[in-house]
Amino acid sequence: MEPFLFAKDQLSEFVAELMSRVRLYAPVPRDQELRFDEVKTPDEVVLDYRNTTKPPKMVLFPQTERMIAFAQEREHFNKVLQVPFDEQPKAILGLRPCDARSFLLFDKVFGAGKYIDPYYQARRKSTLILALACTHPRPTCFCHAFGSGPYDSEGADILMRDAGDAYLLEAVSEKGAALLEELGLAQADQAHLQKAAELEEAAYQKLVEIEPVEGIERDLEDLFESELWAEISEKCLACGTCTYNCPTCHCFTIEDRVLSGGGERVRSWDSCMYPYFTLHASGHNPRPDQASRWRQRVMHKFEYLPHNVGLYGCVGCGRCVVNCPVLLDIRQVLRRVRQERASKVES
Amino acid sequence: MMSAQEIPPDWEPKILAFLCNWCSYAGADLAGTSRIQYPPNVRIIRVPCSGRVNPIFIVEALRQGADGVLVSGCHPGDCHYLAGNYYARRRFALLQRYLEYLGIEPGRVQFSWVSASEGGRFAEVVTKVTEDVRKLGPLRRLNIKAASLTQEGEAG
Amino acid sequence: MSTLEQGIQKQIADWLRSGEIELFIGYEAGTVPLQATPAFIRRPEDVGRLIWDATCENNLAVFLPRYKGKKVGIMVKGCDARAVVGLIQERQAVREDLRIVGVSCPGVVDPKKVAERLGVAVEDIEEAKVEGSQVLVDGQSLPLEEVIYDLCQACDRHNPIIFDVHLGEEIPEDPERDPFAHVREIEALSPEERWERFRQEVERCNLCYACRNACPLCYCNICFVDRTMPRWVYQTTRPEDVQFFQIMRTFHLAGRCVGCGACTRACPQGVNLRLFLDKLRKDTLELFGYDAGVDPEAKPPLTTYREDDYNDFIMG
Repeated sequence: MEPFLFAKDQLSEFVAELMSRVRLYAPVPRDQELRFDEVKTPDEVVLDYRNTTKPPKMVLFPQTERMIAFAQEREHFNKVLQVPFDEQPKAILGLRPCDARSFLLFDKVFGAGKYIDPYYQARRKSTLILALACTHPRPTCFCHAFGSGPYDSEGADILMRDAGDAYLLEAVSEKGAALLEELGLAQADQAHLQKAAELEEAAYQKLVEIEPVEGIERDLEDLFESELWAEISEKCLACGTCTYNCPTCHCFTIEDRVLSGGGERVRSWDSCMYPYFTLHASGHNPRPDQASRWRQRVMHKFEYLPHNVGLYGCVGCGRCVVNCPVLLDIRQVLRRVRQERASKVES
Repeated sequence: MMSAQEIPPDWEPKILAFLCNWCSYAGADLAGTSRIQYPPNVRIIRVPCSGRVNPIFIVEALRQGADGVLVSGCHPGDCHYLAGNYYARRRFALLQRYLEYLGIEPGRVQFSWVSASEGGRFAEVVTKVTEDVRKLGPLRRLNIKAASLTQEGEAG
Repeated sequence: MSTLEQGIQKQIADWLRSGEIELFIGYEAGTVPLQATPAFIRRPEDVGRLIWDATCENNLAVFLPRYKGKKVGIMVKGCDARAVVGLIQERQAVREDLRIVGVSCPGVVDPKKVAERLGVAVEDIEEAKVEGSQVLVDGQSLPLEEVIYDLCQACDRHNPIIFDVHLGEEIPEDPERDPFAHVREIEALSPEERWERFRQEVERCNLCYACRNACPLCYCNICFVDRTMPRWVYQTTRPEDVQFFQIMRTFHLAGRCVGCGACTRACPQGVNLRLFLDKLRKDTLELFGYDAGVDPEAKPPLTTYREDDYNDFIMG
């Protein structure tokens, strides 16, 4: 099937059309930054952007999420108010292919296996992903190290491609095809297809050279006790910037909070970089130093997840590289892992 | 600041007071035993010394629903622990200015020295704080109650 | 990137070789243009990695409390040196254990400003370097003074206050410069406007604690946000909780903040924490005549008092 198309100057009409069908999330200017938020007016959506600081994971996995609330009745907090699952139809428009792929990992962790997370699952099932292929990969991008690329359609329902003065839309999933059918857009013409192909070619030219990540899980296997982790983590400040801005990090904490008259059970993001992340009630901390926390971060993303669910916990978006206050570069860490492994094999 | 018509008609200011055990709390006690009337809007927490009052107590009180906070200790020179109120004074001078700088209205957070023999003065102080806060209306900034914790629905 | 002057390199190598220090904390080239990264040098032969130029933005004093009791060398700018003084005052570092290379710093590059001048995002700067007082990027040459951080443009502490070896030309301070102009602007607003300013500024905060962790004076063993009994701060992004965190963390630096701006630079969301911390510095100066990070022997203002301290704010 030929792709559909709409002209870039028709973006707000397209957005309005989507808003009439679903609750729409897209990159919008909020508080002096561009971030994925609910679209309020059709003309506020910005698609001509490189990437947001905060990842779109917050749409399906909010940083702070109430699980239940409870109110006081007579003497006891015994009136439990269930929070309804969010099943309202939604769509995320204009996220990058790297971010779209991040939801595949979320699906494995929260949406498959023995334990399903109903909060995530309800949101996910009711959300359509309209990814926008990336015409300007940055020097810090390394999606291609995972065999993916700026035009990867994996994880998306619809892939949009830049075609100069228009966007081409192509269905990736059945859900996406159904929506495109309904929207009744024009079919793409040869000139636009040609232009899109040129831009795609140009985008791939911009990718910086990087070693594939494939196989790193085997390199990591016998580095658990390595000195490497202390070396890597020495400059780490133990903040949560890398994890909070990571599109795939999904660790959370659950707290019950009581105020007079009521309370809530609330789930919020947590970070393995925080010293208190693994602190036991006994006072024991199984990850007592930043070296063991960094080991966990790297092992989780590049060894445990590939073994357990068949996906890396990284999509190569580069957010952790550019936002780290001390520029602790994950690409360099992976290079060090390989070097360390190579020198170990030699000796 | 809320304009007068936005203040709910049945609203009464809620004031949290941190009173030092040796002077101001005894002053409040004296006001009571002397049958001196003062507004019932104040909830008192007795602390060993005004120097014990961590700034976090004050900000937390505002967050948890107090419309105003009063901290009261011994007059300078009269501290039971010799200098607790001197340390407190430095801390609170900065805190009060800082909260006002951030946009908490002047009058929400106040400090006083009230001795054990000043029952009348305690009543005056409480009356003044209550009336100042009454004019300002309910605290809408920083107050977690405003986020309606017990409502159903998603966290904000 | 400019490698560190030979003489200074040799000095550091000598310190390491003689055992005067076991570790030197400096800067090396980063993997992203215009950003250096902290370097931990333990072997004399590695000193060649060290650099100094206007991309060295981190305040390395933040690492000192971790190595307390060890002999450590460190590279500090004018503002960073004040943080070292603060740490010595608060017994988090021991002067005799330190070997300090103090740099007179004309200001460090704000990559965001460079990106703005080019009309791109920071991440899209492919190649750039600092040469003398110019930033060379994308075929353009930008004067350094125009693309340094706001904080650096308002700097009144270019020269290190404490050092063993000095690097660079002494930079004269401009006595006319008002380091608190931005604070005065906010002071002139109404309470509503001030609250709106604060609310909007911290609205972007997502509690990653980069500000706290980048701050050299934020070294508490257990920060109040990590306490569970009582649980002061729930890890939620409710505006009230975020505001509470920001108010209390900044206030804990009252009389201690040296104004190095490490928190503001570290914030990935670009929250301008300086707007708030500088109010505390200004008031500390006005009320108690105290400027943090100047005198290692001085008592921090909240750990002391005078009987005739400012009393006007107490109800009459």
